[in-house]
Amino acid sequence: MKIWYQSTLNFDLHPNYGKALRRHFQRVAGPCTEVLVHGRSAAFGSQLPVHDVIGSPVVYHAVVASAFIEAVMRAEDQGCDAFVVASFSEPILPELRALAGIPVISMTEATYMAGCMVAPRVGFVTLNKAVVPFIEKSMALHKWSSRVSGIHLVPGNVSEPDLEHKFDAPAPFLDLLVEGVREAIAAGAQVVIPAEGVLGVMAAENGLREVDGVPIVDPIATPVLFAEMAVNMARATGLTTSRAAYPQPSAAARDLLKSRY
Amino acid sequence: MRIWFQSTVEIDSYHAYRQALLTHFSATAPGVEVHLAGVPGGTWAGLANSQVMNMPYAYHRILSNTLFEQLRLAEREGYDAFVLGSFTEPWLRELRSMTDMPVVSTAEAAVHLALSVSQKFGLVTMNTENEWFQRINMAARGLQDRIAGYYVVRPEATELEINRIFEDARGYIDRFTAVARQAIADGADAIIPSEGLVATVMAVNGLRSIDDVPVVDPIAGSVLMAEMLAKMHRATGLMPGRRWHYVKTPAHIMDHMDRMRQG
Repeated sequence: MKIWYQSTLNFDLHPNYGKALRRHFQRVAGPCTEVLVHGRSAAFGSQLPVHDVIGSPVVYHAVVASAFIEAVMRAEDQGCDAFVVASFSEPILPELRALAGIPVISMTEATYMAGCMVAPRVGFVTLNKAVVPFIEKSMALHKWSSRVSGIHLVPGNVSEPDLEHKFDAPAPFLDLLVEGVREAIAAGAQVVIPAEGVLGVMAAENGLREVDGVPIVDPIATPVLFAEMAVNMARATGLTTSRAAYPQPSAAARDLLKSRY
Repeated sequence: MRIWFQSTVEIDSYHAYRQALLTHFSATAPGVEVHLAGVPGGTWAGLANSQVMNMPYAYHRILSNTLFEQLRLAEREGYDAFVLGSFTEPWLRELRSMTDMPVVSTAEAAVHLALSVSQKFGLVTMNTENEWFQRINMAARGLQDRIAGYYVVRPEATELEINRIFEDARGYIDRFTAVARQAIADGADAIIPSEGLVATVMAVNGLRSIDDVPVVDPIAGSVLMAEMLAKMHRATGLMPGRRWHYVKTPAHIMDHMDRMRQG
């Protein structure tokens, strides 16, 4: 089984993050699963620093949306069995589901569902303020408000580039993350999702599994294991994305999209 | 991987259902060893589950302890996950509080699968007794805005009656499909056959979609979801939240309760 894992970050600018993801997948994915880790490397906008992309709605729309449209089409062309939208910004999830024939798994949605199976109230702890509107958008899209206890921040307004240099000595940052988790718990979270990719892999590979009896969802392993399950479900029962909800473009329209890349 | 699938019917006397489930497990989860368990013969005093489940006291007294003991047995025998195979989701909270092994609800698994492929889904079940539980349980999950509605195939049926239609289910499938089309007209873009026997009838007869709307298979879905959660438990340590909702009973209190039961 081949799973395309698409991050919004460019791994040329975040090499330690890319290495940590690959290490983690070797630990958690099934022996028959190949996780193809992809960063945002399309020419347009690939060199922009993350704050220029995530912090600007119009740049995010122009750069990330088109990169994900291209990526999902490449994933299908290369015979992948599932596509993981590996970002808590959850870019254009309905549009991607309305394009792909393979299961499209959202990191935000998969971790929320895993959280719901272990506790009634789910808290998100993310890296900095720039990510918060994206999680709020996901809450509105999926209509989750009644089970989400809150969106909380790791103290210190840490950025993704800051974190890139902390993989060798993560302890001080993990202490800050635990502070954020405790704030979420105080607000009613009974399970916590570290809701950002770099933050997530750092928590996961350093074994942060619970804080004060509250489980921590592994946001990197979870969407990949969910993707494995969705592929098995499609193969065994024919379950596909609902075309009533997510109608696909015609072959001619798809060809037109492809011609842009 | 070994998964315990716990039905709440007297499975040894539901021959058609039992055979259909076993065949379906082999077809849809060939890499998983699924142990099918029911409740002991005589549990329901000759009635179908639906004829008792609407009486809170009777349902609790008759079913709860059997489920708790079956879970403990599954844990002792080293299973990797336990599927609670009832859309009434009886004592899900209590069961999850008893073990670190993942406890998967067929209803919850089906709902999560439906959510991942659709915007809104409809639940189609076999009688108003089951419908009542589903309305309560889905509301508790805050899912109202993702549900097109709850629907009952008419005339209503019990578990015993559905068990008798496996040989020729065409008439029931036609009536199910007609009700599902009403759900689709109300905005459902996925359908869940929301009862174990009904779900099995639809699955083994290959009802996978209706008018471009997928029909979720809760039987295969719950087994594959259990497999996923067992992998997650092993690989990432995920387990129920012990702080509030699923506080685990320590061994000495379990021992105390066992001594009380023995008199």
